Amino acid sequence: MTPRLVIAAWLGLALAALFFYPLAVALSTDIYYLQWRTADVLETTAALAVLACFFGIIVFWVWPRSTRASHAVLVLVSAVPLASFAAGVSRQLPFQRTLIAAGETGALGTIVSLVIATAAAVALLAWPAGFGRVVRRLLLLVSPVSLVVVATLALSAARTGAAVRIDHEPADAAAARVCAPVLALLFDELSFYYVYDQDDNIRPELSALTRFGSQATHYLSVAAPGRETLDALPSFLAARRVREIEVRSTGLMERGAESELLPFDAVRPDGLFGTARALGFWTEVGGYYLAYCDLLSGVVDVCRSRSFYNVSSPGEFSIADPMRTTVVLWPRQFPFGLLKHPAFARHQREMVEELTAFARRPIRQVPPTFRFVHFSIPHLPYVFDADGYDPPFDPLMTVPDDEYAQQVKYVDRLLGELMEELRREGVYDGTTVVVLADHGYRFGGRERDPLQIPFIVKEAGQQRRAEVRAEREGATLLRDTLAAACGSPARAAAR
Amino acid sequence: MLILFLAAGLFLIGERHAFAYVDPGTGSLLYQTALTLVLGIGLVFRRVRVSIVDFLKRLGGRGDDRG
Repeated sequence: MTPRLVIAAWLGLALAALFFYPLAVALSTDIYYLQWRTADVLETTAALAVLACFFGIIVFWVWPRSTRASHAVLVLVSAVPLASFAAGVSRQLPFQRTLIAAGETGALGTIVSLVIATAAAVALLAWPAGFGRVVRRLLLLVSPVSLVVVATLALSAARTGAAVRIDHEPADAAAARVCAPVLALLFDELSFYYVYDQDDNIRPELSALTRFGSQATHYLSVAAPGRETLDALPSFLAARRVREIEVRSTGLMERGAESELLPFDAVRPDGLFGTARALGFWTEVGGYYLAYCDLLSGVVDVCRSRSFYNVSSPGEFSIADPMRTTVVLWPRQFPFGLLKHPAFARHQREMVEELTAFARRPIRQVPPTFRFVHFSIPHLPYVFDADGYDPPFDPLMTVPDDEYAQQVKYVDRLLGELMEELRREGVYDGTTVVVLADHGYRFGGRERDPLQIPFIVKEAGQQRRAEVRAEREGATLLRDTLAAACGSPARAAAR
Repeated sequence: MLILFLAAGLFLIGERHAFAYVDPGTGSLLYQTALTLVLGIGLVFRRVRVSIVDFLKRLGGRGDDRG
């Protein structure tokens, strides 16, 4: 009985750990992107324990048996953990790109999966004893991997502490208002060419943007600060073009003039939020992907930050979250995509809902609010259409661009709802609203230049449409807009 | 076997320093995984397991002889 119990406990832990192997890989190499907190360690430990018990009970039951049914059960419960382990290993291999390219070849992934499944079924039916022996040996062979997973999880506890939420109370509510509140809505990957037609008018199907743009200034030649979000967003925060960003476990590093790596500093006085503070704004930021609350600690009063990969919500304890995060970290290719797509789609919906709720918070007039919201749409996964959440079978399909075009329509709807909210609250006219993007659509379609971004500013009190065709740097334009909201000459000129 | 597991565990915990020259982004976890698979071979093949145990016993035996 005791050896059977030891084997069941050992293999139960092994199967649970194999499932979490992709998460361990991410913790080892990309922990910054996970915005990892102590609560995540506890959630993952609890999930590991629960899964280990679940698998352990099954192994305890099937291990001494040598029937076809027991072999089949063992294969079935091992399939997902072994596949997850394989996915985690493949992510680290030097020929990962080749694997991805092979997986993108539609039929290949399906054929390989079917061949493996058929071979397993045939072996189980024809040689049940031999097949059972092979499966058991395979499980024993990979079982010590659990040591790696457990050690990585334990070590990650020392690397937690990502701030994902900041809530300060206003210190000086009686201060005189000198600036108009500013609401900056950055939509990730919103393409200029999907917003405007060839005559630089907003496309007629985007009714909310059209209405918003009829009383706003359209900057029609604004350069994106970077081709990727990772370079572009830090440039907006620093209010200067950042050459290149590299992610290290300790945070963001910036490539210097002589290619040296320096810690990226987003809180300098001449940065976006440093300037906002100097102008007397009450500063708020909500976004995903970057660890905003860590980056801007000290210059923001309110912050909400979400990871693009870690689905765990602050303040909610759920052992399902680490499992969903692991599935989100899987490859998108078949058969992994079957589970990844729904998990990733749900995560996208939750992020958008949280950031929308953040954007909807009441806007303070005294001190005036500067609120910057980085939305995860129309970036993939594409899970919305003009009517709301309606994920397709594959929300990560970028070609053709139909799904992306649907996301742009949802951006339009979302903007309309947000502006309507401001009108209801009676603060629309007195608030400067900025709609911008970090870069354009990167997968072809109508896109002609992903480094040209839409940048639309409705200044407080603005009643008519204006256009600025002069070339502008996106990285500095947002900071200039803040200054304009405080009564600089630029504000008067734009009206 | 217990000694082997403990030794492997201690080795893994200290791995980060041992492989400090490896870029963190190039799969240091992969090396750890490969090492544990070596351990797994010991679990699968009784001959390997018995050989290791015999080796350890012989080591222990020599120590006793000297003492």
